[in-house]
Amino acid sequence: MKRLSVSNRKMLSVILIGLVLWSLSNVKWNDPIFHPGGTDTFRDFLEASIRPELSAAFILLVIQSAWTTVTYAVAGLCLGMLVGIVSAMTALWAGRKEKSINRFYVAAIRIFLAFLRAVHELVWAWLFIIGFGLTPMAAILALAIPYGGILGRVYYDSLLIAPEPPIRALQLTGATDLKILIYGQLPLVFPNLVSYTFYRFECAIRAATVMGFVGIGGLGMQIELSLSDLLFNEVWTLLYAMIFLIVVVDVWSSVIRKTLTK
Amino acid sequence: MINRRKDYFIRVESVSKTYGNLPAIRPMSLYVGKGERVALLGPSGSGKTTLLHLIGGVLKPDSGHVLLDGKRILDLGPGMEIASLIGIMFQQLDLIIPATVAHNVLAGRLGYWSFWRTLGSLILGREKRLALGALERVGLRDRIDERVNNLSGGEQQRIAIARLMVQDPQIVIADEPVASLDPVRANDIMSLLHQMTRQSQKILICSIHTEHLAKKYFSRAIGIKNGVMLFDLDIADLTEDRIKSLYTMEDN
Repeated sequence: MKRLSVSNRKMLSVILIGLVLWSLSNVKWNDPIFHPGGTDTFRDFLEASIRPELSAAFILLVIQSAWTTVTYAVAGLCLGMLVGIVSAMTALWAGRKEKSINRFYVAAIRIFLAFLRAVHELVWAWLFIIGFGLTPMAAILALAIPYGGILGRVYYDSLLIAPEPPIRALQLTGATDLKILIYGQLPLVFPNLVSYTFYRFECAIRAATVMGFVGIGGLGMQIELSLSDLLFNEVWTLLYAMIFLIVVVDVWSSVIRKTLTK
Repeated sequence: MINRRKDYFIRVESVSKTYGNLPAIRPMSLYVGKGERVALLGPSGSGKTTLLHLIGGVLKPDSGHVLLDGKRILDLGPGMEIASLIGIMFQQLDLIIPATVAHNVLAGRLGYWSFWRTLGSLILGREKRLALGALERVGLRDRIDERVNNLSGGEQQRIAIARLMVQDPQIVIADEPVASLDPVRANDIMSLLHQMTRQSQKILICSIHTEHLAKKYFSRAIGIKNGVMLFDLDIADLTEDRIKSLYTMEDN
């Protein structure tokens, strides 16, 4: 695709900004954004944030639910990682030659990964619940499929842009392409792969939580139950538990990252 | 005494290389026997790097061919044969930065290891002892488990040499190994390269522009200018005038 000339690009920017402004102007700003009863309820909800439910029995329930959610997230992520790393390495290895058959293999794998990504994990969860019932497998598979596609794509792209000089040096030691892939390219990008995978772990926890809303279990299910009973104090305990989980994963991720590059 | 051209270990026969309109190497032949230590001299852009890359099989010549031990280097695929035949050290640092010193040094064995042994080394770290000897000789044995990005440029270069030592090829090619180093470091590096190739009639070919190092560590001096071999001398016959002839600008 040829790049547009500078004046054409400016014209395009003006048109796009105009479209954004026009669509914003279509929003009915006069109508109340909150519906009448809602403001009071929402205020109650916010007030409950400083008085989360802290009874021993409930805390125990929260811990159990958090554990369930994390389990789904870990299982789904690990399966996704497996799919991702195998696809990425296969695609990279297939693509090392310039022949058309090799390009076809790479394209096929990329399209496969795109298919996996296409459907959101929540939609998969819904479908699997219909098919398998309210089992953990539904949540785990629902996560594994799109995450396999996402991780595969990110792993492949990262491996592809590994710096050239070290790879050339390994070629000169008489190593085959496969050995260079696992001994050279992979270690070169490993810290980045780990970072991104940890980020996906966070996402998996969030996703597993939301899946709980439809009854699979874990924090999400408890949030839904407490919310429908309007027990905001309980909801807040569960939300704090979520925040705690995410923070722990984030800290863990930085520690690992530091160990890998120290 | 080698009489027949066929008996030379390295046979560079009428190779040339042109980039677009620029002839980097005009048709050139060169014969190097076992045990020789060749210093490649010449100004930047003269074609030294191209010549080294051609000998090492990194580049394909536009004409002619390069034979190592009677075999065309470009016909040799990855594996033990080429690993034990030739090793190249480039000027730019080409280590695997996030990996450890041990990992990088052991990469020299990749040509010899099976795929499973490679995997074992990667995941279980089984082959570390192999790296110890080489690291000892370059003076970095205590850094074996550190990540390479913690090492200075000079130390990283020594790791690259340790990697070559572990590969242990018959021919060692080094492109400007001491170009950016101070005299003490330069001497250290040259001394290491010398040690590495001292036994078993190994061949060392380096591009270098420091005259006294050339005289100290090499047996033969080849001068390249504008892609043409200007001289090919015994190191004892390398004079100031000869070196100057490489660097003077001529009106063509």
